[in-house]
Amino acid sequence: MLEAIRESHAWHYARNSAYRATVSARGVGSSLLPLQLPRLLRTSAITFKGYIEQLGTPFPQDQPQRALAWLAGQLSFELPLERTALLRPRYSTLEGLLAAIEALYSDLGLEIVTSSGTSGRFAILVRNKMTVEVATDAYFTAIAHAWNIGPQHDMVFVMPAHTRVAMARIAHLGTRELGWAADSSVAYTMPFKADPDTIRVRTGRTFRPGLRGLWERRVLHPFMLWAYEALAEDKFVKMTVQALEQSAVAGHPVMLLGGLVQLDAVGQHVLVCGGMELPAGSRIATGGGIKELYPRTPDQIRADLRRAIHGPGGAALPMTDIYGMAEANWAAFQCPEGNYHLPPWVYMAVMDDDDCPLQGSDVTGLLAFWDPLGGGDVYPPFFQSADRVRLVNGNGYFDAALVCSCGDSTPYLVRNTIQRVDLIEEAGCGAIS
Amino acid sequence: MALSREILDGYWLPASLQPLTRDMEWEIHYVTAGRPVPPGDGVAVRWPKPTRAQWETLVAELRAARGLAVPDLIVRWQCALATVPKILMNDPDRLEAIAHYTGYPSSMLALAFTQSELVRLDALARSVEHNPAWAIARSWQPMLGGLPGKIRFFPARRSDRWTAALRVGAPLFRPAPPASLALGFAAGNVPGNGLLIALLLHIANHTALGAAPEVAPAVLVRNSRQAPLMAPWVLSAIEEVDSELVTGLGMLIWDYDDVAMQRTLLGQSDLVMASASDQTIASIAAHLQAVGQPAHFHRHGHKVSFAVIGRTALRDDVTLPARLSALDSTFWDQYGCLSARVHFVERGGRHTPVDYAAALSEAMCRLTKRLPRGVAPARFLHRAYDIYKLLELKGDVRVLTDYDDGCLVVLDERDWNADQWSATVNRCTGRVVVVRPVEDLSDIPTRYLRRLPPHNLQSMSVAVTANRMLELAEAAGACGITAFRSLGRAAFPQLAYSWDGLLPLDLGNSRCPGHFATLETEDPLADLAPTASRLGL
Repeated sequence: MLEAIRESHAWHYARNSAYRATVSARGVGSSLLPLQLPRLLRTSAITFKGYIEQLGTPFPQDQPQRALAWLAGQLSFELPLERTALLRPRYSTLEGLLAAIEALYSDLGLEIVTSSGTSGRFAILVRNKMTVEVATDAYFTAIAHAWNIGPQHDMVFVMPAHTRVAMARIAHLGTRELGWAADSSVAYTMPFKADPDTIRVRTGRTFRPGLRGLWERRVLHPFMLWAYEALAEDKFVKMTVQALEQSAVAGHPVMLLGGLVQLDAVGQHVLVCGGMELPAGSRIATGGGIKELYPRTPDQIRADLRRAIHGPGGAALPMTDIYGMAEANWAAFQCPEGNYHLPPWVYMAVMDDDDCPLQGSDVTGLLAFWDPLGGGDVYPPFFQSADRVRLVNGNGYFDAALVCSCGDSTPYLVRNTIQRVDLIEEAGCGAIS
Repeated sequence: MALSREILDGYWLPASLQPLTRDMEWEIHYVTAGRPVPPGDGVAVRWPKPTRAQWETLVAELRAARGLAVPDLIVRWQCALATVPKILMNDPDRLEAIAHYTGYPSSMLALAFTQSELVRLDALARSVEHNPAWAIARSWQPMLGGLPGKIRFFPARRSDRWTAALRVGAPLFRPAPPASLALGFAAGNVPGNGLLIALLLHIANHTALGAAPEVAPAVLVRNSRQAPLMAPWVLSAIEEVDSELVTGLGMLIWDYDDVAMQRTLLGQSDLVMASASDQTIASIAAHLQAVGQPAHFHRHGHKVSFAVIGRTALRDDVTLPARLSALDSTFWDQYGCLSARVHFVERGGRHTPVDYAAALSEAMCRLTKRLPRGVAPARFLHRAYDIYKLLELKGDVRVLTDYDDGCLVVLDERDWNADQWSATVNRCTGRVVVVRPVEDLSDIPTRYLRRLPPHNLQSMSVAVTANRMLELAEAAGACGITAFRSLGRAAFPQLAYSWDGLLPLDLGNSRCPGHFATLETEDPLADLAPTASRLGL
């Protein structure tokens, strides 16, 4: 594993200027010593949101050429910058800019994804054909391995069919790349737009400056909230129920996947209607946690979902969670014990508050990962997350007594221990806004 | 040094009230370097967890223990406190326990103890003797009580600003009714906050102008779990010297989210002081409103401070201002609201801002050895380093320290917009300093301070000549800055002067809304060498 990380580091070091600048400033050269592993770690906020500080704005659409130059600096393959001249001087939306960049480099198979953007400030990540394939492989191999989900399953994704949010996008890319839709039904039941600009205005934390911002704050934001509650929620709930009923009628096992908040709306509706039975082999999967204020806890939501949707004869359906990050081309899937198993091809550790790896086979700290494969030729995926977790059998430690009772011997994050703790602009005594 | 295995008291009650804790439940925390550790490890600290009924009894007993009206209360505090440093320095084990618990090195705690300016209560007593006239809302006036420096009041209401000219001789303050129960909330970012609040609340009634000496209020302070040891330790030392002084004073820890408890206590308090996050302050204000209690509420929320180095300070030895300002940004790992974040450096001196930044980085690195880093996680420092190293590639930014230096000094000459300026200020904690060259001192208020919320501005450590000081203070004070002191003294403010725009007179009196700004010295430049010598820099 160390060899693979060394190779990956050396390859990206030679090609990726942002990566080279960061790690060389920490005293790391092209060849890597084992003790220097922690010094390869970057944070997603600085790497993929770095344009905000570099350009001085969270709206890169106002400076397309500078934004593209910044993006090119983050990549390990060469982006022909002479095409920059073909960009417009500005775009009215972030979606417009990202779509224009994708079109400009369509020959390279560029796909741009974003973080969920609940702060209104998006991490912007690039994937090309190679990394899309890697991510698809990683996700869908793991789904098959952990949950026994395959092309025989119908898929109901309570998410928009077209979005740039990384976790939702991979579902779309995966079913497309693997051709699952050919053998079974794949439904996306969120009927509204989920482009970055819509998400930004709806979450209401970042608005454009000036009159446009006033329009967004005073008119668009309240309207979107109203429209979501009054129109969209009703619609996606009905579409989800309809898709599930079709699978039930056809006798196809189904995987229902969505965010907890959206699934709660579905669950409440089904409960009122007297519950629903799905064919054997069906499963409910959740992901993304709860990122906004919500009056019900995850446990309450899951309990109601269990009561609402069940298997034949009232048997409880397996209900499990997925843990992933926009910057990671892998995900961790919950086993029947509730633990999140990590892919064996990624080196995992947790770090203390001083950026040192914690030693031991059962440790709690900030999750860090070195994925020598997942970044392909786009960027080196060596990242420190902002999630405090309890990691078992990671960082090269293995204690047979701590192997998960589900039987899977891979490292895992202990259930109910994943906690978002970190904000890069967090301040001590005084933080101004 | 081996740590004591005993469980230390992280609360304080006078000896006469200690029996009340006999039947109480206890909470025990095991902590090392500000972080919880498994039971048995680290420093063990306990405090009682009274039931609702026990709280009622405790408050009633505190009220009953308030004692007699003492005319010389402030002088008695002064006498008692004068003996404290010696008592404390003779207990190295306790000092070591505080260092282990809070994470701040004992060298930093010892330096804080040996500087007595913070507790110069003779100056405080002089500052509350006279009612300032409305003239101070028009121009800078000599500091109250004949103390060094100057004072100015900035009324918040336009009508008060306009009518100030018509009542220049009229008194600004009017006495407020005496308090019977004063409630304090102390943040734990800096050890000793709880003690400061207890002291100020206790003398509140004695600051009322023109009133006969009153009984001091019963004082109950909610201390922080982050720093529970220092204040109880000092209060015990004071009790040894003058037990009568502290009979009506209690310091405990309870949960902010215990709404019923908060409302019970707030509902009985007529004076409240909170040094806390803006969210906690808003929550206390909401509770006060909910229980309909018209208490006098002093809020000390999120604040940021700066350093200013004028061109004259860069005429001779550039290391002198750098050594002093380094201390201003190092003490309490820059978590104190008085810690200088951005250092504004005026161009045109014999030494350039680049020379200053280089001297500052050297001084900060040297201080890191003398006063090692405390609780501030190195990861925040590293993240700031990463951000500035990437910006360095574009020019206009220069990083002067290394990844492992334990501090970060950056020279940033970019053309900041409002977002970048706010982000810069927020990033400067945990020993991160941004040096910002300015063409002229007048740029500081107009181009920078005005773009920050006035209620977040606190103080400035300055190295500016006397003849330019008032002009800077007038403009910066109008933006919201509340105190100006000479470089190197950021961590050692004097109680007689403005703290977050409030004077000691504000404790026992009322006035129109607005904030004070004070100059602790009229010639900050002349103070540099004596301050450096006193601090051993």
